[in-house]
Amino acid sequence: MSMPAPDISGGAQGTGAESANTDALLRLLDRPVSAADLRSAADDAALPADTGERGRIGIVLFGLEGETLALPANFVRRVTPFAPAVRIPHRSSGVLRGVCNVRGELVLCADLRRVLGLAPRETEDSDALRTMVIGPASASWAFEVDALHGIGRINPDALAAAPLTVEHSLGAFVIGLTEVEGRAVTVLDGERILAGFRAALS
Amino acid sequence: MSTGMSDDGGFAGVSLLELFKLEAESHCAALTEGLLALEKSPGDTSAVEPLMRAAHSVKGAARIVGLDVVVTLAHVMEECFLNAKSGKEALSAGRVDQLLRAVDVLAEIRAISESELATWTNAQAGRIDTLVAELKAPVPAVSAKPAAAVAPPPVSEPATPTAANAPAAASPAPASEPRPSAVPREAAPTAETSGASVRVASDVLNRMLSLAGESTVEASRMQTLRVLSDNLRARERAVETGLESLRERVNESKRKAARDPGAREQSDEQIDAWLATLGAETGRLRGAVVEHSTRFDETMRRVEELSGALYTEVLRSRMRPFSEGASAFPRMVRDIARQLNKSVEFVMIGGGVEVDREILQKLESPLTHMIRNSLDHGVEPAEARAAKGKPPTAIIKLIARHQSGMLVVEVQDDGGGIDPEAIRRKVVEKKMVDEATAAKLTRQELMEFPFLPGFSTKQAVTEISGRGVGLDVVMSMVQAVSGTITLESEPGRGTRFVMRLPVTRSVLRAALVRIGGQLFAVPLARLHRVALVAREDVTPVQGRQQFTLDDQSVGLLRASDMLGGAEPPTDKASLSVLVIGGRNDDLCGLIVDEVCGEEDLVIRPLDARLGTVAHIAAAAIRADGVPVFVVDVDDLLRSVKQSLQEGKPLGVAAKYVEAQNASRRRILVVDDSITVREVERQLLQRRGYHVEIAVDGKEGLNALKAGKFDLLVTDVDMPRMTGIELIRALRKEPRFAELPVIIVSYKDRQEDRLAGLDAGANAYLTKSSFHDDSLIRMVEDLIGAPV
Repeated sequence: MSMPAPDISGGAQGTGAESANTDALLRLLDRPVSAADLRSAADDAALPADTGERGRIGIVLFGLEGETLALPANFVRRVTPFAPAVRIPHRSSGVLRGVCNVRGELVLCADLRRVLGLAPRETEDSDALRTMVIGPASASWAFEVDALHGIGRINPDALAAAPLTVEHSLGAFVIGLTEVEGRAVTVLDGERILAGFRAALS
Repeated sequence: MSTGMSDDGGFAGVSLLELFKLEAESHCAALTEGLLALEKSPGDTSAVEPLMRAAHSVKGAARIVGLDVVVTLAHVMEECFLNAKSGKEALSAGRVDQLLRAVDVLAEIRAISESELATWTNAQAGRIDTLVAELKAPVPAVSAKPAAAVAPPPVSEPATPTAANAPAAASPAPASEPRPSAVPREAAPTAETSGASVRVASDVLNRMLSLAGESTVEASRMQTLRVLSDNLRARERAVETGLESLRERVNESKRKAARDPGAREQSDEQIDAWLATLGAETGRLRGAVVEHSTRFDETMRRVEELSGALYTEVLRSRMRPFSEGASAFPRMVRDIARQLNKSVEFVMIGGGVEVDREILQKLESPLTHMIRNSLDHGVEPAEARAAKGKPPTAIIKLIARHQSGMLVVEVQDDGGGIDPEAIRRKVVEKKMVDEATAAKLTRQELMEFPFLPGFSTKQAVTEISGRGVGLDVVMSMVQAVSGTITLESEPGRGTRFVMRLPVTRSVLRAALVRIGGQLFAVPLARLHRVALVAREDVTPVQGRQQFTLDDQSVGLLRASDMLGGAEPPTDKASLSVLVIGGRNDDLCGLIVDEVCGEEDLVIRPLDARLGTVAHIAAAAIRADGVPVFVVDVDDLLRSVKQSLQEGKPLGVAAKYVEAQNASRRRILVVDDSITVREVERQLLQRRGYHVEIAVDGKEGLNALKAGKFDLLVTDVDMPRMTGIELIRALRKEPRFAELPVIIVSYKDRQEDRLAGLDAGANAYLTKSSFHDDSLIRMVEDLIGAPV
């Protein structure tokens, strides 16, 4: 039961339908967790194993340096239009980019590429750039992604192991591989990424 | 009182009882809220668990500070919750009543000073005993509704379990075993975080209300704009149609004229008439456009004014007079002074200074510690003062003022002061710095050492300051609100603590300057002057660049050398220079790329995770949404002066700590009780280990993954992730398979021990191990000496 993934990363940015899609998605992502959500998650967890629905989790798909990556949706606080980071004197380094303004709040901004060890490439479409915010409210982190590819649902127990060819530095952050609507997706471990960001503080 | 603070360890300020009270306060709030919620929905066993934890934590913390009555009380409370959770006994209204009364007792202790505690305990023993007895006894049938009390056990299971649905009911359990209570636990924080309430002065609220009312009126006026816009659109359509029909008729008349030249004149007349009509319509359209834009401008101005005023009021509602946060101090000073047989006058200056309520709240406990410290170790008894020729009554001053966009709070006493030489001796004695370096330390640098963890080694327990936790804790409390604290002292004349705190979310008038290509904000109040200096006016004097301003030599430095970024452009004929300093300081000039103007900025504290950032005081968001950092002019000035004197490295003390920490063995302490954490941290740190802390298993796990540790000391019962879960998670990862782990828990039953060791702990100690050296011994057994 994968949900239609509204592709808002495409080049044609200006059409009304697309921006409505974006808004709808952003609203969805910004929405506070309601009692109903918790209940449905609890129901989900209580389903017998054989229906194939138990334990499915939502993921947010995004593009970075040509890879399609994903993070569990419960890690993602919000996705906003690209918010440039401002360097922190004496502190900004490779991973710690600085702070950025995400809807009126200053959030520490890290470079996910560096953490994952991805080689930077030329960005084709700067309009598609997004800033993602992950982690708990008091300790959230922002990072830039090349594009947002929507959301999907996966069964974390049915993930394929990352092949040995995956670069070592990336491999340490991967839960597993999956496919969403024909797209090969690398699912990342949110906690480990947060830990990687935090390491940049010391 | 001797003059040297280091000899009697006078800097240990925070008493454990103080910590206990802080902890009890948060637990009392949670208990009350939880009990009231439970009373409304008694069946909710998931809501019982946080209560159980709170009672358990209070019990543990009370045991450490030796409050036996509280230990007993918290224990029976915990039992009640345990029974409720296991379904043995539903929490009836009568029981909740009793429990709330028990919470009241806990709340009372918070208000009792250390000196009054013993008396209070004796006086209340009878009352507490009764309460304990009541809580132990079954619920009084009178207050509980008989029907509810005798109700059969909850019928949550299907009434007729059949063979078919029994396994289905059982099967999810093992699968979800690793995270048995994940759902209720995640639900809990939302309940805890919501519903904080604040007090707002009624006149502020009234003004906010009236402004909000005006906003509504203003919004309804926009209806007029809407009508105008419709009008505008209608006229524009009329002109368009007119133009269209004119074009058609002109074409038609051209055709007619071609066929019949006689008709030409007539048609020209007609065209003129049409043009006139169209012209008139266009005129009306222009009028409507002008009217519309005028009205629009007016509305916009009013809305801007209104929202500005509303914003200011909301901002003001966050502010409270400083005196509100300091109301307890006069009484405290009086009581303690009497007890110590000292004569002390407490003076508060700047009680009316408006302070952000958040800051005010967080100031209370560091201030309490500093004032207690002054009373206990700062001021001398009357006879000693008289012998020194001082007035017999000592004065402790608490001063609040706004200075250059910062809130400055000082605690001053005219007591014995601190001898810098005593610090110098102690620094060497404690092998913090070698003798040669110590001899070179300036007075200001020496005054940084008392704030370092492990500096104060107070052995003697005094009743007032209690078992010391040290100035480093005060410092971390101040740093938690992005503040700084410094210590100044004249031996024999007195001591002065100066805290500089951001006035969070207050508005700062700042100059925006570009440094190394990046915009920074500099508080206008801290700018002596902005100068354009022609290159030829810059001359080298004694090897450094300077220029002359009002007959004064001003040393020049590139701001980008301090704050990073590209070098300023060299193609301009003159340099943009910020002149800072003045008053008692020399003037210093900072060369910036350009000065871009000034702006009102809403100041926000830096992210706490960054700690203090050199030369940066705060951050702000500009009107265009771009973040900008606010420069800490004082800090910058210090660095600039040091640099201009081609002087010493910055922050000797801080550098020392970094270097030493790198070589020391590192221990992570995980416990959800601040009291226990502090005791463990202290014990281990005094021994010389480097200690970091985490508040629950989850945070602990993350800290372990992110850092490098030689040993883990953890509690068992913690929110989010228990110690057992933490150890299990660790042992699964090869990296942590061999990490030595010590459990320190209140639970001392054999099965608890076994559960801990079974999960993979190397040792299991009870919290009584604080009182002897078994924790330290175990640590040394496992990882050896600190260095």
